[in-house]
Amino acid sequence: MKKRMVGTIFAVLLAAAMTVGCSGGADGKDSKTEKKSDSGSGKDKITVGVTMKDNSDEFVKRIANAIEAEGKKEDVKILMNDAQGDVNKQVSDVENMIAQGVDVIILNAQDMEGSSPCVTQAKEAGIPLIVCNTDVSNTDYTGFVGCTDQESGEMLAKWFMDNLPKGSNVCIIEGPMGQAGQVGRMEGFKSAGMLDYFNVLATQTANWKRDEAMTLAEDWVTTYGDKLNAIICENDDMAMGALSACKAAGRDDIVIGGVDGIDDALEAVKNGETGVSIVQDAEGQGTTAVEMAVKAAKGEEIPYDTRIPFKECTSDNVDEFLK
Amino acid sequence: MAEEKHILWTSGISKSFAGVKVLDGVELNIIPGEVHALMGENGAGKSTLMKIIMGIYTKDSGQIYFEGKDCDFKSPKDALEAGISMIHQELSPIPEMTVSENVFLGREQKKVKGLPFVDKKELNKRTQILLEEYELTQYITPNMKMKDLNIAQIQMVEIIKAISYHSKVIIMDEPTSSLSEKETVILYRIIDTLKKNQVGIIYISHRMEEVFELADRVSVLRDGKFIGCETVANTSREILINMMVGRELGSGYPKNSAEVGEVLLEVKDFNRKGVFEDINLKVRSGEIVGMAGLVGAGRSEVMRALVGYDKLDSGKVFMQGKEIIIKHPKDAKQNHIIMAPEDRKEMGLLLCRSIKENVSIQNMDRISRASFVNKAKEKKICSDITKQMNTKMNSINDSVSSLSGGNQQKVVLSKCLLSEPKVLILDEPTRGIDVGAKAAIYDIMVKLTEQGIGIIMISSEMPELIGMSNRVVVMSGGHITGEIEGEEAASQQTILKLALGGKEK
Amino acid sequence: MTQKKDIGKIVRDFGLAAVVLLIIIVMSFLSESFLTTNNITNILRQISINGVLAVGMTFVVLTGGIDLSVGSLVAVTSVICGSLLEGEMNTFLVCIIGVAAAMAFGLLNGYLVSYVGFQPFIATLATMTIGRGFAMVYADGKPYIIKDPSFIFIGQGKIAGIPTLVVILLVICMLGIIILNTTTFGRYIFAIGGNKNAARLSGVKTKKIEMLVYLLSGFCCGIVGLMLSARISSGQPTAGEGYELDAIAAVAIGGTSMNGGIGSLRGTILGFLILGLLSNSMNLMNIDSFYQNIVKGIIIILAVFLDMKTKGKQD
Repeated sequence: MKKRMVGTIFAVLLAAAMTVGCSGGADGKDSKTEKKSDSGSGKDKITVGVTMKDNSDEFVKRIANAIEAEGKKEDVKILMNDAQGDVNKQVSDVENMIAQGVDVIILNAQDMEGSSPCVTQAKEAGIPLIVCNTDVSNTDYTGFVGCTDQESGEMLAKWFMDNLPKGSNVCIIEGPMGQAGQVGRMEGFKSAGMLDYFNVLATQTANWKRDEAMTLAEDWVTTYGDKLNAIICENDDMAMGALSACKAAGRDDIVIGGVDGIDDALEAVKNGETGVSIVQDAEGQGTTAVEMAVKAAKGEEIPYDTRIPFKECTSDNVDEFLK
Repeated sequence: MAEEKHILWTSGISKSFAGVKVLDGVELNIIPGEVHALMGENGAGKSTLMKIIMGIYTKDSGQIYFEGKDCDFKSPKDALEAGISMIHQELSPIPEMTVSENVFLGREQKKVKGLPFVDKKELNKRTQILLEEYELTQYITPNMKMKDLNIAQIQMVEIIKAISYHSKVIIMDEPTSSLSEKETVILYRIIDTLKKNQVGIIYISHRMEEVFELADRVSVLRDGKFIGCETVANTSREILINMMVGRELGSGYPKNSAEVGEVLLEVKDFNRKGVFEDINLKVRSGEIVGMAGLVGAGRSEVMRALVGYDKLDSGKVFMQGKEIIIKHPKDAKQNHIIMAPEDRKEMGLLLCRSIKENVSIQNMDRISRASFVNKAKEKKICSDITKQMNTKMNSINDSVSSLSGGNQQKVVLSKCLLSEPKVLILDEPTRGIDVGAKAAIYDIMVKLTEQGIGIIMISSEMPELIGMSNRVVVMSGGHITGEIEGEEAASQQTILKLALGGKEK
Repeated sequence: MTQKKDIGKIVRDFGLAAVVLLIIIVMSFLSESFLTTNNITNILRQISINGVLAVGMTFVVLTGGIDLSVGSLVAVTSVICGSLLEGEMNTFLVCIIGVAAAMAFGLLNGYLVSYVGFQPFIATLATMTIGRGFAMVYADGKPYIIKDPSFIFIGQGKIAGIPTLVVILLVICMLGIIILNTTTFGRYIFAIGGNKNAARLSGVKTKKIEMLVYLLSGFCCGIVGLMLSARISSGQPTAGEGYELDAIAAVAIGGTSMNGGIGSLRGTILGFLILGLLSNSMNLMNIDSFYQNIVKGIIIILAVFLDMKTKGKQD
């Protein structure tokens, strides 16, 4: 009995310690919950409900951070929700926000199809909804801020087509099959004509994961040997995995490129280890999304489609991106 | 013989389990409105007979006539619908359901026929009528949740349920075993009403005084055989006990000639709330102490607490005069108090592992050095001890589950003996094993006593207790109710009296 | 009776080894590159991660438990190492702290299971979510970049021509086999899985042993955390997602009973070898990952089926 008590106390203490320890790391998260609780009282401030697809994704997290920062600047309340990669959670998050009576919603769609009900619900509740960064198949929203995945696919394809001879042997590492990022970027590869321009040896998914991409690349380097000229990755994390595999095999001739512009990808571009990273302007997207949301909440007209252009980061301009 | 007045009549019921005859031509007849007590020692076949009547087991031969018709129920549901129900010793209600839902479980009144909506009001009403008829309204209401009821109340619900099926025969398996005196009075009153309503009651009980107070007739089983049926008015305690015990004193037990020496183990004032109370026990070297009592008397529980397997509320243990603290079986082992448990599957053996591992697990200290197992030594020691025990096996690497019950028991004994016991506790050492293996185990026990080991043997077999023990300690209801020494031990009647009459003491 | 059992045992072990051989033979015809030194090194490197986790998992499963938290604990070690290395701490010290963190979670698992009496599934499910959450919060969702060359050596270097990862796997497997087969601790693990009550009555300190087993699994997670982070030069909070299932799959394929008491590390080693070989083969043949999942599932069913059949013969 006594032992059990001590055990329970130990467990509770541990949990408490973690919560405290955590709040240090994730500054601002606690204040969010506070905001949530008093959102009913402060009617004077505009409340912006945000649902992000997965804050554990580095790029998504950057958008989220930009949204928080812009929210502070514009003096509006930001209700940040993280769907944690679960479309079901995203739909219920939106339901909750509508129930809480937010003035406007920013949707970073987890799934092209699955997140569509969010748009419908907001429409029915008469709450303006801004789609940010990711496509959603129901286009009945107030405005879109971001760039299409297709665009990034096209830019990546074009860079490779410009820098490698026609008929080069390439492998493609994809994101999780069916996710907007994978579908759109693959669409971009196609529309740019890359799939016909090169000889595609293999196409496989590594689910945006570094270790999975590394395993794939290792196997490819073995199978295709010197034939293999390039590995084209739908995101940078996977490009980093492919890079590790090629480095280990001593193959610095294989050209690698990806999308997102995460820190170590930029560094790799700077060191000449990878060729290119197509950089989305996460901060630009987050900031503009909040600007649009505030306008929409005030009832002002906003453009239906706002494009934040991609940037191509190569060894020529990489220093602009490295802060 | 199937007279019309008999509502239930069984004839020549026989049943074997795995070649062992547990029922042999049993007769039983019940008259409407009588309480018919069924008595016999543990394992006499009472429960098996009831389970056959209820359709839980199938009989090998014999007939059951119910209301004059030859019946052979395939399941308890058949029996229940025909009008026979049973109140089990261990009740298992559905805790989240109400009283009325439990009573009408499986035959709920639907609001609209064919739709799954239960008419709770109707159920409650019908339950209430039954409760009123049996004057139980002050104890339970139809809306109470089963989980809020105590055992007595649950039993009442079970009886009401039986009545709701218009049962003509109700079997009660030791219904008062967990009731207080007050609650027992209420049960007796219910039984009276049932009698007036011409329900026949089969009443299984170990308690003599209860039988004499309540029953009209009593039937006795012994070793699966029907011994006789007496009218209670024409019989006595002594006659019944003789009928139950019956056989002559056990012969064929090896002579225990070991010298009884100094006190090895002394148990003082053992208490565990609700399980046993004020247990004091002494074991001398070279002595076999028999522990007698009915199932649930608390014998195994005391022993499990002694070796540190179960918790103990209070009590002291002395080993050769020195107090020792036992909190875990490991402590007991270090003090050379070793227990061979009753249930080999539950607590005795690692069924999926080899004979060798089963023997060595308790004796790692002997075959390891700095945590590393000396496999050669392990093999040798395990081979030696199992050979010494005459275990029939191909190799010590065989799975222990491939052995027969008797040989499994020898494996258990092997591991216990390797631990060099000074006091060895054997809980039902011969249960479920054949005659040859039994004799072998008795021989081992005698040899051990000659080496000066003290043995505590829990057994439900009277002849074994009397034949092997120097002394028999009798427990009942968590108390020691008597101790019989020397020649006096020869009396099974004395032991049974003590074991049955526990509560008065 | 015994002969039958032995045959069953041989069939089972031989069956798994036969599957390994079959894959190798078939693949060497299907793909030229399969039997190259490079590819063999690749396979060994790729199985090393799951292998070490599966060794730890085998211990837990043998006691009748399960450890769902392994994937998350890998991430805990990964982010802690990542952040400490960014702070340019001594590499050796970083490794110790990283592994200790995973072991602390392992200890919590063990405590909840053995002393508080939680079901292993529930206790480790809880630590699984806590561990993942901790890693996310600690790293704020972002990966750390690892540059420390001596740390990276763990994941990308070679010792005497053998990748360090593979050396670690070999060492862990060997240690595991020694512990399980030659120590009293190993015997106690089998005993607890076989019959906890009987083990306790025989004087085995069952609670302590159970706790140690979860601690051991935590240790393996810590080691994998180092291996994985060094392999991908990055401390990632999302590292090791779903690894628990691969580890359990390897254990199950290897014939260890989920009820505990029966099994071997030899089986587990064959188990993760089969999984690794399959995944490598299918990548070489450019088979869609969806089909890869189906094949993996079928292999588990077949292996367990084979196991049940051979065990059925015993009785």
